[in-house]
Amino acid sequence: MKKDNCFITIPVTAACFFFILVLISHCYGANLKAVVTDEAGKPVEDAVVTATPTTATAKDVKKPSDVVIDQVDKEFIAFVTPVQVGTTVIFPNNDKIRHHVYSFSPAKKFEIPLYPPGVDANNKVLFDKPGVVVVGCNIHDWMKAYIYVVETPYFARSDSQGKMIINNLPEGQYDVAVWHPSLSPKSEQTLKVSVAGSNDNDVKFTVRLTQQWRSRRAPTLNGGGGLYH
Amino acid sequence: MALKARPHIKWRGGTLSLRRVFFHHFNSKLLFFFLTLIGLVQLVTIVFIDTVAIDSAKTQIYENLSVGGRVFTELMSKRAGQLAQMTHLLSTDFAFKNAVATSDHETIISVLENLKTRVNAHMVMLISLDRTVLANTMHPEIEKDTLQVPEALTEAENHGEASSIVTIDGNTYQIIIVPLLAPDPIAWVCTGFVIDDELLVDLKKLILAHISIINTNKTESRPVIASTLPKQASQALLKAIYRVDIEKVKPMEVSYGGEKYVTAITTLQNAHGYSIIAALQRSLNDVLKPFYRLRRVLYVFFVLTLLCSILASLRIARSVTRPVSTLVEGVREIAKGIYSHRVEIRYRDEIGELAEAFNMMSVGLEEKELVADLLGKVVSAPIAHELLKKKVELGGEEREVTILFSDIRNFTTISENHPPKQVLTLLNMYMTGMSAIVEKYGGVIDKYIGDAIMALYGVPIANPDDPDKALKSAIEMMEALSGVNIEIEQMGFAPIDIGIGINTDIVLAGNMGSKSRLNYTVIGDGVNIASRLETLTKSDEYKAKIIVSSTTLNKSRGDYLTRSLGSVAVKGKSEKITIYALDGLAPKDHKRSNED
Repeated sequence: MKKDNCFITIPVTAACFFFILVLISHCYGANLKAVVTDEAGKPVEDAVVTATPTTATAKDVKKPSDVVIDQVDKEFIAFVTPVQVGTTVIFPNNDKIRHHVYSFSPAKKFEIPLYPPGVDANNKVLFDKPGVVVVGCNIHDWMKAYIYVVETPYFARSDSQGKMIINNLPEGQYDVAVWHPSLSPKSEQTLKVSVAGSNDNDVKFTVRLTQQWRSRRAPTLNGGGGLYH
Repeated sequence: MALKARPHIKWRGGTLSLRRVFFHHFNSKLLFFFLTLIGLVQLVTIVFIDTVAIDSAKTQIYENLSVGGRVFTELMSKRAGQLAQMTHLLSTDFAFKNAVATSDHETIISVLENLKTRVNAHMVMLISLDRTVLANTMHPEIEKDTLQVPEALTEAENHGEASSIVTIDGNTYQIIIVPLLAPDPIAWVCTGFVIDDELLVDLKKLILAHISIINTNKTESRPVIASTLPKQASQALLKAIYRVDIEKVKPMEVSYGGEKYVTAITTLQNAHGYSIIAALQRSLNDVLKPFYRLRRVLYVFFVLTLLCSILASLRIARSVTRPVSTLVEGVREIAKGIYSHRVEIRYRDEIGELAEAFNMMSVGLEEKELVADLLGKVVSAPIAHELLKKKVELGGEEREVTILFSDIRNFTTISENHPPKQVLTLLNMYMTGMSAIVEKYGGVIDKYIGDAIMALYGVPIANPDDPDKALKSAIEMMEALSGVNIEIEQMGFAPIDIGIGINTDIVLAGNMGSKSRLNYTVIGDGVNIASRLETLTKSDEYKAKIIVSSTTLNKSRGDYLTRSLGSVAVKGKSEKITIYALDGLAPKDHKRSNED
């Protein structure tokens, strides 16, 4: 990057950046590193960053592999799961009790009625429409998981440091967006990113989160009445 | 005449004012005093107790009502909490969520109706997250409607749930709004429970007060939401609430139907565009009932006290007035001259002492009367009176006195021829008659000297007509003699004849004798002359039965039949004195004498 610096002048920053992108555009497997923080600078976990190609034609689009959302100690693991449209999600029961998994989200309404511990071939759901699917357990009000169904195969979920990496992005133009279950609509933002060669791209999102509805774990005071946390 | 306007009553034959009668009796005064005193004390007590009792009743009611108000608010809040719990339970029903997820309006209405029945709600609404009413059991036909309770929903959005008192379609509801979780909110469920009179009737049993729930917004068409009061009463309450500042006037008083109600106001809700209060009321009379009972007892007690005090004061008064009346009666008896009267009073107090003193006084008076009576017999009554009046001491004063001497002729012969007892009877009879005449004319019998009488005119009290009195006495004595002689003849005696001598002179009158024994009498030449003139009547030369000195005649004022007898020398006197025979009253004067 140092040798490029001599070409860069302040009025033509954007042009130089584009030039560099063009230079590396033919390289394979660039990574997109994203960091999501809130307005106070604290890292945001469970944020999903998606990169939707706008110019590059996605090559060899294969069927996405199955994803598992586990149930352990009366909680869904993970809390947020981004999947590509067409992904089948398996809901194994790794608890000692039964669970009743459901969703009334428009993106995917489904119900796996009360089923015993273990992995059953029937406990899988195909997510064929993009959107947010809120998954709950009918007998445990507090159990909640979000499945973020997206068109693009390029996405990642932030860790506790608010960081994530989308690996092996083909060269091309991308709309890079961020999503979170508590994302304030005002914080929705899309960045235009050009991926060229094997150079890593860094993106940073600062988002505002709203309060999120969460039911208390049993035993509850209000018969499942909830509070925002 | 000043008493004319006052009430009058007949009293011992005369008319007296009530006031005079009333206050002239000790009984009445004492009675008046006691009645006024006790009456005043009782009046003050009653007024004081009344004021204190009513004030404290008001305070007590208000405090109770304030507690009741808090209890009521708490009950309403607890109720809202319970309703919220029920609504929450409904919202977690999976079938319900399923039904909502169908987006089929009729199915949703149907499931809402079902839920409504489950919790005995009066209405259930399903509200979308974008604030549209998706289904409402009150208007099942409307698929999308505007929300009538936006403020309450805002609170639910901010706090996860909301409870509010609102008016929808003219009815007032306690509404609960909770989210329908799947597991994130997919819609809002609103349940409504009507607040009506029936609800308050149950709460009234707990609070023990009338409860009215009122919307204080003056533009509200139906401000009294619910009340345990009759309509008229709740309207009176509403007027009172509009009239006064309910924040400041505590406790508030509302009157209707002749009863006073202490009123306490509690704010039930001041949010979501509604200002709703609860007014708790209790009748002052209800609380004061035990006090009224006590007061009736007090009245009876006071009347009894008053009666007792009347009796007591009458008794006390009588204990004073009875001995006083006895004493007054005693004094009256004494005044009548009945000195033997004694009063009988057995009190050992001042009145007893007075009675004792009275009795001692009457004993003294009686003794004195006895002495005076005896004295009157020994001496002439006027002299006895004079003696009793003044301090009895030796000595005298010069006074002009007319002295009359009478004597029976030949008394020695009479007494010799008859037994002394008969002579004494004759003498007593004669003396009694003659003495009466002397006393009739104001003369004083100075003494009886055997058959002779010495009478004085001018002592102890002088009169200008003393000489006339002596002359008239003499004339009457002579006239009376014929009457006396009739009796004397019946006794077997020969008729008697008397002679009278009268003289007027300045003599010494007073008590004479020794200190231990004295006589009221007169001494002087004048006395001797009178005696001497009487002696002259025996002389045939004068043929006169009554001989008076010129001095007496000159000082007399009446007209008398007199004959001059010339002058006569008297023993012990250098000058002769002129004497006259008195034969009677002059005809003119005689006539006048008869008129007297």
